[in-house]
Amino acid sequence: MEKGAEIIVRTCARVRASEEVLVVTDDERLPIARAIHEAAAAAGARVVTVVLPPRNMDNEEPPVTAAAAMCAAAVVIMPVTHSLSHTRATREAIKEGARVLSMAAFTPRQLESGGLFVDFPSRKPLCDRMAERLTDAHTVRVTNPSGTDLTFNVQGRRGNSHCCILDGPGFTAVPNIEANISPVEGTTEGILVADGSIPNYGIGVLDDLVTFEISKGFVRSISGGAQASFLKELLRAQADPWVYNIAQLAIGLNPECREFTGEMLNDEGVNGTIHVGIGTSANLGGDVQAKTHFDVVIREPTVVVDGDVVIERGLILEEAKVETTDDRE
Amino acid sequence: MTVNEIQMVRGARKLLEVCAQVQSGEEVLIVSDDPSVGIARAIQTAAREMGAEPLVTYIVPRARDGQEPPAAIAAAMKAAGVFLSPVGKSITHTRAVKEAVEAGSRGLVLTQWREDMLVRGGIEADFPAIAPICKKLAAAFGRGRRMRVTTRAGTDLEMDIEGRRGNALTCIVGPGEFSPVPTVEANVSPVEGTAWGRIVADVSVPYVGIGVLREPILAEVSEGMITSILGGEQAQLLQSTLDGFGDPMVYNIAEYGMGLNPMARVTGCMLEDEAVLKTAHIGIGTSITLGGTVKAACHYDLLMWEPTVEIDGVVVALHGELSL
Repeated sequence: MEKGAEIIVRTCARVRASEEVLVVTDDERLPIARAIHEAAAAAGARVVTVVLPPRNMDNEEPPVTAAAAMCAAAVVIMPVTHSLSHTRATREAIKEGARVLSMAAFTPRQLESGGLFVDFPSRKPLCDRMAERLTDAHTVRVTNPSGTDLTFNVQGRRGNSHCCILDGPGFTAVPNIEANISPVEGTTEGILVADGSIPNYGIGVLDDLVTFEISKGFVRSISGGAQASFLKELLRAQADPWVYNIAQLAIGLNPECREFTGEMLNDEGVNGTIHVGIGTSANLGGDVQAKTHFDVVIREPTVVVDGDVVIERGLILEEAKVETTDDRE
Repeated sequence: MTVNEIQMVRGARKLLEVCAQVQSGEEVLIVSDDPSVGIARAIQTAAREMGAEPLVTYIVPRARDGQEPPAAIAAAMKAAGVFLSPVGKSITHTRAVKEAVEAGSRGLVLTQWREDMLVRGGIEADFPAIAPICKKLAAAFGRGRRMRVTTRAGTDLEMDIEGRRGNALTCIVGPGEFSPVPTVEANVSPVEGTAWGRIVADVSVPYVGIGVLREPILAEVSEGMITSILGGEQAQLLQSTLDGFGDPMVYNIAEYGMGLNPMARVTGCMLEDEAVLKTAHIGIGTSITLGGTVKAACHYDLLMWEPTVEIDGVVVALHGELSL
C-alpha cells in the first residue's frame, strides 16, 4: 500500500515538509490511515491521525472535536468508512484554507491498483475543460440506454474540477477524477434509471435497475428491487425532505477506474460515466444542507450541453477527437 | 479481551467516570503518541461502554516535554469537552493545554503511563475522599506569603508565594480544570526570583531516563534560579540535559508541590512518583500553567522525602505528615 499512499500524499495532496496533515479515520480504515500517516511523515509533514467514533451514514457531520481539528490543519486526508465530503466540517475547513482530500470507503485494493495509478496531471486539462463547459452551460440533458432522461438547469452555477490534485485550498476525492456542477434547486426534471452503482450505504453495484422519478428538483419516487426498497426506507428514516434534493451532476474521468466494483470513489470515477448526487449540495456550489448525500452512477450516458453532444454512450467526444488526431499523425 | 485488558478497561472507566466525570453522549478526545500502547484503546473502549463518543488521535512523538502539540490537536482540545493525553512527552506545560482549559475543557494528563498504571497503584485511590485535604492544603498555599521547606536529607528552601494561587490537583476535573493522574497534589508557583537555599532530591527525578535516585542530587538556589547541581551520574545527566536546552529559564524555580495519593508508589514514573504521599517536589522551568509567568523549554521535577513545610511561621507539614 506504500506506493498508493505516496501518490495520495505527494501527487494528490501535494504535502510539503513541515506542513500539518490531519488523517481522519475510524477503526475499520485504520490500516489505510496508518499507510497515509507514514507516507505523510516520510514527506516531512507534522502528522496527526484522528480515529472517529463509529458513524452511521455517509455525510453525517463528524464530532465537533474532529471538525475543529480539520479547520486547524493545512491538509486533511480522510480514509473513513462513511464519507465526510458533503459535510459542514469539510466546508469550514476549506474556508480556513485547508486542502481536503476524501478517501471515503477506501479499500486496500484501491491503494494497490486501479484509479490511483492513472497519470493525474495529464487528466487535469480535460477535467478543467469539462468543468468550464458546465460553468458556461444553461441546460444539460442526460440520457442512457436503460431509460434515463434528465434535464438539468445549471445556469449561473459554477462547474467544479475535482481532478485529484490540490494546489491550494479546496476539495477533491481520489481517485475519482470528476467534473461536476450543482444544478439550480427545484429545476431538475425527468427519470433517472440507475444501472451502474449506488456506492453508498453498503448498496454498491446494482443487481436490478433502480428508477428515480424526478420533478422540480426532487426525487418523487424510487422503485426497483431489494436495493431500491432498502434505499427508500433509509431515506424515509431521515425525516428530512432535503435528502431527495438533486444536488449534483458529475462526469467521471478516470480511465484507470475500469469497472464498477461497489467501491465508492472507484465507481464515481469510471471514465465516461455520469453520477447524480442527491441530498447536500452546499459543498458543490448549491444551497442545500441535508442529513446525507448519496450518488447514483449510470452506464453509457449521452450528455448534451446546450444542444452539443459532449458524451455519446459513454464516449467522451473530446477525448475521441484527440485520439483520432493522434492516429492521423 | 484478555484478563489484563478487562482490568485496564475497568481502570479507564474509573478515569472517565470518577476523574473526568464524563457523561453519556459527550465527546472525549484521547491524545496518544504511540499507536502500540493499549492505554488509548482501553480508554476508547471504556468510553464507548459508557455511551460517550471517543476520538483517538495519534501524534508523532515529540522531541521533548513541554513542546507544543500540532495545531489540529490544540484546536481539538479546545473543542472537546474532555481530553485525556496518554503521551510519552508531557503536554502539561503547553499553551495548548492552557488555552483548552481557558475555553472550558477539562483534561486528564497521563504522561509516561505504563499499562499497569490503569490497574494498580495510584489509580486505586479513593479520589473523592482525598480531594478535601488536597483543597485545604492548596488554600493554605493560596493564603500564604512566605514559605520554608526543609527535609532531613538537607533541603532548606525559602520562597515568596504571596499573591500566587494554590493549585489543588485532585484528579477530579470540572469544566476549565485539568489534572495529571494519579497525581493528587497541592502546589504553588513561587514568585519569580524569590527562592533561596538548597534542594536535596532523594526520591526521584522522573524524566529523561533519570528515574529513582541512587544517590541524592543537590541543587543550590539563589534569586529564584538553580545555580549549581551536584551529585553522582544522575546529577550529571540532569545538568547536561538542562544545559542542552540553551535556555536559562529551565533553571527557574517554578513550583513547590506535595504528593497526597496514599496508593501511589515510587516507581520512577513521573505522575505516579509525584503523587506519593509524604513526598514533595520542586518543579523547575515553565510555570505559566501553575500561576507563574515563565515559559521555558521544559518543566522537570526534583522529588524529596518527608518535607517539613512552614507557611508564615505555621507548620503545615512535619516530616511529611500534614498538620492542617
